[in-house]
Amino acid sequence: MRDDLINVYNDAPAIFETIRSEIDKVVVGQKKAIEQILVGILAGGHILLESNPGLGKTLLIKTIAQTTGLDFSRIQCTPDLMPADITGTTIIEDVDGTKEFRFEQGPIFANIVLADEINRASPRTQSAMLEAMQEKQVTVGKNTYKLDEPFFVLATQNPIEMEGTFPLPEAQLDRFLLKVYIDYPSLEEEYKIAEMYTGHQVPTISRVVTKKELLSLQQLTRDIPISDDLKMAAIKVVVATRNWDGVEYGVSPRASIGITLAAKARAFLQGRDYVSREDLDIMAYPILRHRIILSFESERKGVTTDQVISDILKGV
Amino acid sequence: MEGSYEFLVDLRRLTASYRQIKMVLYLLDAILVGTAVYAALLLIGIPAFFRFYWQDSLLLAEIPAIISLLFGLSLAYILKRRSKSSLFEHLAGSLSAKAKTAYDNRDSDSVIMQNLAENVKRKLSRVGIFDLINGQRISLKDRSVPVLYFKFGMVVLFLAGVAIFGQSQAGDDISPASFQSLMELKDEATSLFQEEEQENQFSDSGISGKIYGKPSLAILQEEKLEIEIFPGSGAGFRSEETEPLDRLFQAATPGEGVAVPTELYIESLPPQHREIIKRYFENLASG
Repeated sequence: MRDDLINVYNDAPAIFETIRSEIDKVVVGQKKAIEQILVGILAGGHILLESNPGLGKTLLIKTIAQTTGLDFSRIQCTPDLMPADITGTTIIEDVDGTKEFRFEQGPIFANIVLADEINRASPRTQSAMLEAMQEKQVTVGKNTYKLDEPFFVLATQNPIEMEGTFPLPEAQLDRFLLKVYIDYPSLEEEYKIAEMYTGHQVPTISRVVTKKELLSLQQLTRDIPISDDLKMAAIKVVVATRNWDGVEYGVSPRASIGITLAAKARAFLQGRDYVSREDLDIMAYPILRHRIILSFESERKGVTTDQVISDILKGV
Repeated sequence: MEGSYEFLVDLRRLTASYRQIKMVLYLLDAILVGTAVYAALLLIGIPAFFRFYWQDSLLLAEIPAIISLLFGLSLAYILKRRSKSSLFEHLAGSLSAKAKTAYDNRDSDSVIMQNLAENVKRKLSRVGIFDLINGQRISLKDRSVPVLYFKFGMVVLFLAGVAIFGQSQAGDDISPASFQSLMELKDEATSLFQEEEQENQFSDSGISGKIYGKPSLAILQEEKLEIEIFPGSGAGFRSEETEPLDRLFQAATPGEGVAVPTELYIESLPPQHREIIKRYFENLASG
C-alpha cells in the first residue's frame, strides 16, 4: 500500500500535467476554473459551477470526467424531476415466474455526477441529494446503499435565468466545497474556440488516471504538510467572516476544513510538498463565496462576497 | 526539538547559531544605547565632575559609565523580549516556509513529509551562521539585515565620538574651572542655605538682618521717623567671655576684722599739690 502511494506520489506531477493537456484539447482557456475543479476532485469535495449560458460548464465537467477512469452520470435538472429519478427506485421484476422487488439505482450511483442546472430542480429533489452529498449514501425505503468512492457532485447553475428556478438553500450550498465562476473567454481564446469547433475533427480525450490512482492522490492530498501558522490563519479568516461588517451570516466550521484541504490540494497540484500562504489566499475565494450571506445594506450597495473576502484576507 | 528526521539536527545547529546572533544583536543594542546615554552625560560634564570629586574611589568615579551601561542593557533586554522573530524567518526564500512546515509536522511519517524532510535537510545543510545575516541569502523583506548594519554603524560612530571627546577632555588639566557651571550651581545653592540660616539668627533677636542701607521706619514714643541706618552707624561690640583674672585677697580670721588701708589718701595725691591740699583740709577742720 505504501509502495503504491510512493509510486503515485512520484508520478503525480506527470499525471497532473497529462490531465491538464487532455483538458486543453477540448476546453480553451479557463485555467483558473480547471485548477479549482481539480482541487475539488483531489480534496474529494463537491463543486458548484456558475456562469452565463454557453461558457462550457457542462463540457468542462464531462471532459474532466473522461480523463479519469470514473463512472460518470448526468442529471438534467427540471422542475418536474422527482427524487426517485436521482436516487433510484424499487421495481417489481419477474424472476423465474415469481415477482420480486429489485432496487434500480438512479444516476446518483456514479463516481462523478453532473447535476446540470441544479437550481431548476424542485427543492424536494434538491434535498434528495443532501444525504448523498454529505453521507455518501442513499436511503430508499428501509434500505441504505453506500455510494462508490470517490464520489463527487459537480453541479452547474445559471445566474441570469432566474424564472422558474429554485435557488439552492443555504444548507445545501454549504455542502459544496467550492463555488467556481467561469468567465467569458478572451479574444484570442474565443478565436481558438471558433476554430476548434467549426472543423471536422472532434477532439478525443484519453483516460489518464485510474480510479485507484485517483484515490491514492486524494489520500496524498490529505498528507500534504501545512504549518501551524497557516492552519491558524485559515481559521482566523473563517472566524472573521462571522463578525465582519456587512456580513449577515458568517461561514460554518466546514469552511475551515474546506480552506485547509483545498490549500493542500492546490499545493499538491502546483508540485509543492508544503502549503504556502498563497494557496490559502487563492482558495479562500471559491471556498467562502457561496457560504457568506451579505447584509441587506451590502447587497443594496452592490458589494460582492469576493470583495468581502478580499477585505478579510487583507485584515487577517 | 524532538523527532527522528535528520533535518532537525541541522535545525538545532542553526538555532544555536541564531541564538548567538540574537545575543550579538542584544549586546549591540546595549552598547548603542549605553554609548548614547554616556555621550549625553559627557556633553553635560557629569563624568568629569564625578572623576574630580571622587578620584579616590574608582567605583564612585565611574558611576555615570555604570549607569549608562545598565540603562543600555535594560533597554536592549526589553527590545529582545518584544522581538518575535524566529529562525525560520531568517531562512532564504521558500526554505523558510518549508522548514517551518517540516518542523510543525515532524511527528508525521507520511510519504510527502519524508520527501519534504529530505528536501529541507539537503538545503539546511548548506546554510551556515553567516547565511543568516547575509543580505543576499535573506529575503529582502526581512528588515533585520539593514537594522543590523545600521546598529553596527551607529555603535562604531558613537564609540569613536565618545573616544575622541573623552581624549580631548583628558588632555586638559582638570580643575574646578572645567566645570564652572556646576560650581556656580553649587555656590548658589550653598549661599541660599547660608542666607536662610542668617535670617533665622536675626529673627531670634527680633530684628531683620536686612535693615542696613535701606530706608526704614522707626517709631519712637508714637512718633514715626524715617531713618536709614548704615552698616557703620550701629557698629559696636559684643561682650566676650575671657579667662577669669586672679584677684589678691587677704585672709582674715573671723572676729578680728580690721580694715587695713592699702595706702593713705595723701599718698595718692600728686606730690606738687600735696602741701596745698593738706593745708586746705587743716583750715577746713579749724574753720
